[in-house]
Amino acid sequence: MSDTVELTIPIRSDLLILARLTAAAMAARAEFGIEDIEDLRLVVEELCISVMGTTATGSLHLRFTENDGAITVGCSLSGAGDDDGHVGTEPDELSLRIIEALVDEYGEDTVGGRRQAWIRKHRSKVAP
Amino acid sequence: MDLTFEIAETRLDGVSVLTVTGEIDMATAPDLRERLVALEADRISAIVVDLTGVSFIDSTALGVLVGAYRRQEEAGGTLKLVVTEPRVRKVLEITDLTSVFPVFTSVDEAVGG
Repeated sequence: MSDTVELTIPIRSDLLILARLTAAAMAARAEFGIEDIEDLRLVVEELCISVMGTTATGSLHLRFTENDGAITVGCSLSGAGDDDGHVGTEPDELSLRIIEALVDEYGEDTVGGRRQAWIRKHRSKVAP
Repeated sequence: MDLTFEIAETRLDGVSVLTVTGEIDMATAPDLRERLVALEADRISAIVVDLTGVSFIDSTALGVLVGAYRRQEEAGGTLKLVVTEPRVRKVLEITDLTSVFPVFTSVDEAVGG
């Protein structure tokens, strides 16, 4: 059984904290440890930054799913774009290093000229 | 989680110390950049950024610090970091920035080092 929470926020840097808070709440509910929760908070921030790119309008749509001790977060843009409808940029090197170091799986693609990306992080096993 | 973001500035032995507290993210990193650029405009050659009170730092903030470090280096100045928070150190290590910035565990060390 899985639980899903969806969050749509206007593209505003001061609202990314809502994505971080949701990630932390989902992780705490899934009994992630403090270190994992902090990792997920940071990764979700980086995921949003990478999908937003230099876009200044529209909304970010996030989908958080908890399933079997793992949390999957998908992030995409809606209602944004330049004249050609192309939005989002490649994540910068620092952002990518952070994401790849802290998650178990990471994927990204471009649909209709818009970047979207997702991550999956499993709850760390605690030594007996 | 400390949501209060503040930057305080002090001078110690001719070194400008920016003490940052709270979370440095996409929303607050521009404030840090502004303070650093102001110091550069004043031709301050030695800057210490004290991140002891920082609980969260993202790639935007790291980019601001890297930019300031490079500008200082080009101008013949220095920019050092003070880091004690394990979360902040972890992010610096993940991004290999511990090999770029001089990182200290106290302001006294950074000012004297």
